[in-house]
Amino acid sequence: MKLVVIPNYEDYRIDAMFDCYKWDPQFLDHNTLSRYALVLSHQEAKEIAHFTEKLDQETRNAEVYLNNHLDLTKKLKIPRQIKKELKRMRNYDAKKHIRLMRYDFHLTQDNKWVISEVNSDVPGGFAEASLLPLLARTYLHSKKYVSIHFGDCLAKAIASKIKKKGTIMFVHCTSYSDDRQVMQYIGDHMEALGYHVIYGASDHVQFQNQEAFSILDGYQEKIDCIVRFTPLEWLKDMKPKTWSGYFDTITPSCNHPIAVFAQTKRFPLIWDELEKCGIQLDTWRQLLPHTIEVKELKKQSGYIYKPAWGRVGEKISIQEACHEEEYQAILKDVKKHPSHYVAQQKFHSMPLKSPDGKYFHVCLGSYTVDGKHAGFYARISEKTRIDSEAEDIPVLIERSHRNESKRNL
Amino acid sequence: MNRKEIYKIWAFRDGKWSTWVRPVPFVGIDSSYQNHEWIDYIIPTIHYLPGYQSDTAIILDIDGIDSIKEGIALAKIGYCPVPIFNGTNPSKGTRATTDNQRITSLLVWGANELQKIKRMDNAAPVFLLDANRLNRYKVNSSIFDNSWDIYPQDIPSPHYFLKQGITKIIVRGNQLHPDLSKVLYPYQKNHIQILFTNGYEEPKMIKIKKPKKIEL
Repeated sequence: MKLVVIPNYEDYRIDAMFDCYKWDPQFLDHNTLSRYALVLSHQEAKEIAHFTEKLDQETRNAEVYLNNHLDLTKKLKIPRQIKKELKRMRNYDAKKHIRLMRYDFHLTQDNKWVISEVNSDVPGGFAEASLLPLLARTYLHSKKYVSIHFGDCLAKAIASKIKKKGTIMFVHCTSYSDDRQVMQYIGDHMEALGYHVIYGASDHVQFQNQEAFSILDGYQEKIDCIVRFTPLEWLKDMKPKTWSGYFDTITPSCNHPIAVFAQTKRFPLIWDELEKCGIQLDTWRQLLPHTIEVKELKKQSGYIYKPAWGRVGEKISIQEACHEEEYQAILKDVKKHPSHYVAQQKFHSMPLKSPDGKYFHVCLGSYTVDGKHAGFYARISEKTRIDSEAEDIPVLIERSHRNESKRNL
Repeated sequence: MNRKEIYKIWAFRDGKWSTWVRPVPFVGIDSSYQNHEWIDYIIPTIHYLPGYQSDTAIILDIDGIDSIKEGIALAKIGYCPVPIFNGTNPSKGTRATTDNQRITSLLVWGANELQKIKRMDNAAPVFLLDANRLNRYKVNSSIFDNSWDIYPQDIPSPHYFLKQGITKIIVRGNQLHPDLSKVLYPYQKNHIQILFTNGYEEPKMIKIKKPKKIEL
């Protein structure tokens, strides 16, 4: 893995905003678009793709098992309102839906890969994993690199599950432009393929006989596919409660709420029970740092706290990456609500040195769509915690010596 | 001018506040730009400031169209206008809570006006907001809610303000909206004075109450 400088950065940044849906290039005082590209060797890309598919297989097996054995999910502490709906998922048929996940990989100081989490429910970064690498390659004027087009992989999977020219509803928090940019990219992609695209909020979908219908003004019609970017744990706050139908809909969904089991960081706390029932989790065990209940930690050192439903690195207690005030506030919250967190063994990330001598920690997201590896989305930071202040960076892969197809990892 | 050129005028190279110019309202310019006859393009007179003050940032929290026009008026006396509009648009034919599109033609007009003005790299900023962002009323549940809030991450930190010699922030509006109040509390805590004006009277110092819950 290495960093290469993107020339003419100012122009690249403008092109990223206007041609690659990068509508949030600044967060407080931090530029969130890297001046570099992340280059993986062919071997590294192949190795991560392999790990990702193995993890994905284990996750999907586990979630199908859990769906039939909800008694095992007690330790996950799924919010009460969602828990009540889980029994609706008995009709879940994986073949009918599109299962999208992103596993976040990190290289450690002893040169091993670890994962910090799976974004099981609503992973983002779609355009950054599709168009940004193409833009970076244009600026680098080099034939040395290839990239994987995530958007093509996802579009293909969606197209395989619905009728031609069908209607797709892109469900998101309509007040947030950074959510819309994710939806708009894949929406435009599907529209270019001939599909009818609607953008709406989660309460613009209603269900009759387990089929989804749009109630959005001007678009009252049957929906052939739901692509959801509103997190499940936010749905529960919707009033009036019209969201139960997401759990048993037969309308192809990406993702179906089955994603809830692996989304919580408490998922590892039920691995022992799952393994006793014959569910293999070897790759997860190999790659995820040891994770336990906060109450089991006692006086052991070398652990950090992670919120069960945290996103984008928020509320993770990596002391050197937090302001003291924030760190103390997290500890206070952990003490007050230990079951809202897990304790996880801290890993030591290996920073990469940039050509201009700076050091960056890397979080390399690796997608799967319906079990197949579907590309990379990376962020880098000078801090060890990859959070909202981190920079998006396009991922390129060094061309192997053989004349290969870009998807043939 | 295309959308990138228009954006680059507002977010001019080497401007100290340029990276905060939000691309969102500029993205749709090529496809949706219309010259609205109902908008008067008269640049207003600023009554509440005697002139440019290098230690003072301004936040215009008024109707979006007026915000851009007043931003240009302030640019003429030395300020650097920074549009931070962040609302999205509904699909064609859908009724929405907020009309975020109506500022588009003003951004194009404003870019033309800015080209006539000599701008300084280190000018104090005037952030342009649209007070209509908080229009959340839905006649029924089929309406697209594209109202939006301003968040702390949308503007520079108090530390950055102080580093640039900014010690006062004037909010110009009809009231201090709750989202902006929450954003500005840390600035007050960092000894940056917060002043308020309705656009006619001299800005007066205000004290923002501590928000109920500060997110981690």
